[in-house]
Amino acid sequence: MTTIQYKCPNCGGPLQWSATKQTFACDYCGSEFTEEQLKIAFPDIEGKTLEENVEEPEVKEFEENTSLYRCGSCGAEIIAETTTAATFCYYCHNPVIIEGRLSGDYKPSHVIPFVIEREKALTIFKEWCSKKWFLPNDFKSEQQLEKMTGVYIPFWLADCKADARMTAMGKKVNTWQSGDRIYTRTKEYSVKRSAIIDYMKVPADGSSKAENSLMEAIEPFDYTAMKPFSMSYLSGYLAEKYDIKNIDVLPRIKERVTSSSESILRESITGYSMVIPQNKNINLIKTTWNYTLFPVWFMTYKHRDKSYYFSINGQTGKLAGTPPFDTKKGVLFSAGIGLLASVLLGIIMIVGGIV
Amino acid sequence: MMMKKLTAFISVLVISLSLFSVSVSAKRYDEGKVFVSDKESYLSDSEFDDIVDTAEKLSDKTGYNVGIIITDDIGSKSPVAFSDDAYMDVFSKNSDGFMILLNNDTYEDHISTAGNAILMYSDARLMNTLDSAGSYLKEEDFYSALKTMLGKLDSYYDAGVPAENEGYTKDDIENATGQDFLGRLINIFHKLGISFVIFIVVSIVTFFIVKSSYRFKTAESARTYVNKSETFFREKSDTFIREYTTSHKISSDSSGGGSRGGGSGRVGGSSVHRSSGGGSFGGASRKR
Ligand SMILES: [Zn+2]
Ligand SMILES: [Zn+2]
Repeated sequence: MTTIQYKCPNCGGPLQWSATKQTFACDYCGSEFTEEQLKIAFPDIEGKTLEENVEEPEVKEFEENTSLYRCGSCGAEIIAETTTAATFCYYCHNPVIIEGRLSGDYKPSHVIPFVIEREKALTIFKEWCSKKWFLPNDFKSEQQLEKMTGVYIPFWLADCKADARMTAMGKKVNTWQSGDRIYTRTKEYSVKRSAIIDYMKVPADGSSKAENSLMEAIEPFDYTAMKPFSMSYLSGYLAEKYDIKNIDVLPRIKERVTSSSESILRESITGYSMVIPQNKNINLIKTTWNYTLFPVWFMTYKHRDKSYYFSINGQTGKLAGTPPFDTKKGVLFSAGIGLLASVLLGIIMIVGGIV
Repeated sequence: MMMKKLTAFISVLVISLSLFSVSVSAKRYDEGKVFVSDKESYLSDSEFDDIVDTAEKLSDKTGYNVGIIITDDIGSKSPVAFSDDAYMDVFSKNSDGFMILLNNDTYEDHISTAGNAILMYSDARLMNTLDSAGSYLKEEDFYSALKTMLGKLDSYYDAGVPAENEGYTKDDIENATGQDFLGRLINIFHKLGISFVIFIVVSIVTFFIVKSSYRFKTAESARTYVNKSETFFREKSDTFIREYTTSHKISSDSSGGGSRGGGSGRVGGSSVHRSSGGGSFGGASRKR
């Protein structure tokens, strides 16, 4: 056996052979691989690293035409094209100060341009509010709406392969009656499933300021409209500098891919009256990354010292967020419904002569 | 033409008169709260009148319905059902009173009690009443038997409600005979103030539904991103391991609650049951 230095197929870090576990392990991202899985990950050349797709002239252009702003209050780092000035922080509404130029490492490879413009986003938000009965009366103030900001949020897109295995016991049960006895016949099967499940562009935002659940809730984005990055898309909008590296979003990707792979395997087990899972093992065996910017309308709403965050998918218009709930209104409404129900029941009972 | 009509009229008159004469021989008294029936004339006319008189006095004193049936035909019913149903036919469902059945068909005599009479006449008192007439019944001296029984029931009334039944009400009887589920539920609600309970429950449920609609709707599954063309199963095996068959007997003891429209229970010293007609009755039987 020759010594080959394998690189981690998920993050590019060096792999160490663990004799006790009989696996290759990555100290950087915590992934583990069997030799067989590495061969699926790298069918041609063993130990090949991640492809570098950085093109020099565009990186230079990105460096020269962007400015970096920093929010002195919450620390958010905002990118703006040199002709677009950022004035306030869309997270905490405090003024931002210019920090200087940005290194070319932060140049994204792709972008989904804004489709929903400002007026449309405001309409979506207002319509959504009008359907909510229990918002505090002072909620939809114009002053707050002015702070609605269109931002390109950094997203890591992971293309990955999952090696998913599951074993289970399947039972087919038949019952029938004969005379005065009931018979139950049980047939037991040993069920094995193993699949390579390929995922394309699973997104995870690279912003520590943007709430992860809020970003996941406005998915999906339509990838067919994804374009190679060009400075022109930035004009008029702000962008955020990623502060979470791809290796640090890997656990989130893993979690989502694992639960989805599990359900795919589980659904492939059919025809049984009962399935008892025994073993499952889902391993990410190859991940390639793409750094992109996705369009998001942001709105932070401060109500009684609590901040409520809303986001609208700048491509599809899907809205997400937790609106403030006016408890007083809610209690009054519920009590009204309760009263109505008890009065109705009373009438029914009197008419029906039950009382 | 005229003749024909006349003969028809006369024949109808004759037939109805003859029917009337038959019904005269069957003794029956049905006035207000007293009912005495002796279809086969086990009692003489004077005995019958005396029993009616005694029953009237007892009814006046107690306010109970007093029913007495002597018969040699109870049909396919049990003595209990016959007596319960007769009480319901003659008197009304939730009234107070009793029905004495002297049963010359299957020779099992029975007293059905209803309403407050259930509480007044405990099982022990009814058994004593039947026992006291036991020897007369054996000799088919129905007049003496009835006189003795009515006398006993009279003196028990004077003694008042037995200690073990004190504090119970008609409601307890209704509850003990087991109403259907809805009836029971309504009863509970009624006691707690049904409107208030409904108000609280509906309000709380509404509040939580409304509140939860304000919570965050979470992300969709990563299945959206599965690339089907590059996804494949490497193994899909279902291996038969073993087969076994078990069996058990179908249990036939369908414990009799509800099947005939009601169950049975106890209120203090009186056992109570629900008749097929839906009334609550107490009672006791005695074989001759
Ligand atoms: Zn790694
Ligand atoms: Zn800030």
